[in-house]
Amino acid sequence: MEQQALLDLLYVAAFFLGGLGFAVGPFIIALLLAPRSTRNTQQKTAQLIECGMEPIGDAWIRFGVVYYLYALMFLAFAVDILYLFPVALVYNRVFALRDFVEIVIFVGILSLAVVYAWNKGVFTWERKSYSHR
Amino acid sequence: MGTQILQPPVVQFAQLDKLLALGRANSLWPMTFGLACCAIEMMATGASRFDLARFGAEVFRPSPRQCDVMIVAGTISKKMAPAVETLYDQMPEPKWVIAMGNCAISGGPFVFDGQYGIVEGAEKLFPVDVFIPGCPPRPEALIEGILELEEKVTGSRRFPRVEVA
Amino acid sequence: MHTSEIKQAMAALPALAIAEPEYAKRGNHLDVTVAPDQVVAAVTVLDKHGFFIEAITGVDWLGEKAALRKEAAAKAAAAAKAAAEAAKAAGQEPPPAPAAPSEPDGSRVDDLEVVYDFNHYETLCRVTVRTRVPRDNPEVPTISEVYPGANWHERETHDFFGITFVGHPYLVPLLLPEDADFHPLLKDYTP
Repeated sequence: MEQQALLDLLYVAAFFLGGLGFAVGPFIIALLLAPRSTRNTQQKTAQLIECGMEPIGDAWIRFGVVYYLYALMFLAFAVDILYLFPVALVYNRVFALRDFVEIVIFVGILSLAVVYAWNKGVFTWERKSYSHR
Repeated sequence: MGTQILQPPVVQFAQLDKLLALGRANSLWPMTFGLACCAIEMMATGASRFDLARFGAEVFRPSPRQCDVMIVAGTISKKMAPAVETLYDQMPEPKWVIAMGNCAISGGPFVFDGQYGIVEGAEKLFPVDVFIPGCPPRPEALIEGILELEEKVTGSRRFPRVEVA
Repeated sequence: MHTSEIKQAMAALPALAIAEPEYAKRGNHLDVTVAPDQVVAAVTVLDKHGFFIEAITGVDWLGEKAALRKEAAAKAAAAAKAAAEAAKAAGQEPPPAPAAPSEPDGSRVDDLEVVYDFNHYETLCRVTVRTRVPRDNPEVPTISEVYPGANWHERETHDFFGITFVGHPYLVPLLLPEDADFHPLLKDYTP
């Protein structure tokens, strides 16, 4: 490959490794430096936390599916934003109005997804009554 | 009673200990453990006039897994004692305990012959590092207790001790 | 004021004793004593008139019957002595010594008293309902069907006095540890 592409690839690799180190580093540091046991009076260190009481039921409970749908909507628009970054680089190469109209059409098509979700009731969260175990 | 031999960390050396002690002392995260009237003074200490955030101890965590110091503020009744012990167990090392107020030190005004309801002092349940007397102690006294704990952790005191003339 | 209406309703119950104490001295406007099985009826009357429950507590009357008996004996002895003095002064022979006074009460076991305090939201009208049960079998019907707020008050009274509230849905210790089998506010409680 040519020199410039290799250099760019090196930059990307360095950033990737840096990010990985940033994310994984604290785990490793904590594993190395943390005390490995804690003083006990009742041997209840591993018990689920319920403010000092005996826990009722399991910690892995079902939660409402609305959270999942909300996260899905966010994800779609996060990817959308990712596509808008290159637009900032090529804006106004020919003339601005063309780019503006194109971006409006792009965002408009994506916002139809929001309208669809709105009509399907993703944004109305009903109060749920929780079943007692 | 909580005095077991602890396994040391994997990596440990003196300079690192000093650095870590500095970090831990200046960001002690207390657990919101107000049991009785001393809790009101603890809340006042966390509020704006007697700011505890100046010393890094502002974030009172509700979960024992995230806190360093348990400030036992108030009377421990016999009914509450198992809950207090469970929360002490669930705190990870390094952990410290501050007994705030006369009730947490030795039962306070509720000690009499034939008392049936309270545990006479937090020391009966687990080891305590700093005792703050008072009924209730003033917020300044709680801040002094936090500074004493910082001195216990690092070995030196960052703010001068106020001498009574 | 509701005092007169409540008084009439309680008298129709029937109540064992109704008193109208002075509010400034005693702190309540009406003091009603009922038998244990009339408690729920009395409380229902108050509920119909819009009263709310303030507190339930107990009183341990240990030693009351013995003290009353001693008082009665002393009074009888004093009366006999006075009669003998009068007869001697009049010159007649003294009357025969009176027979030992009969038992003033049917049993020798003291009472536990349960005291219910009520008040009204709109007008100030404090009503107290009292009932007495023997100490060896203290059972009172629960009023938590009428006043759900009395649930915890009755649990506390059970904790500290040992009074069983018949029909209570959850009579477990409220303030004492769950496995407590002692009742601290009884007068013969030793730790």
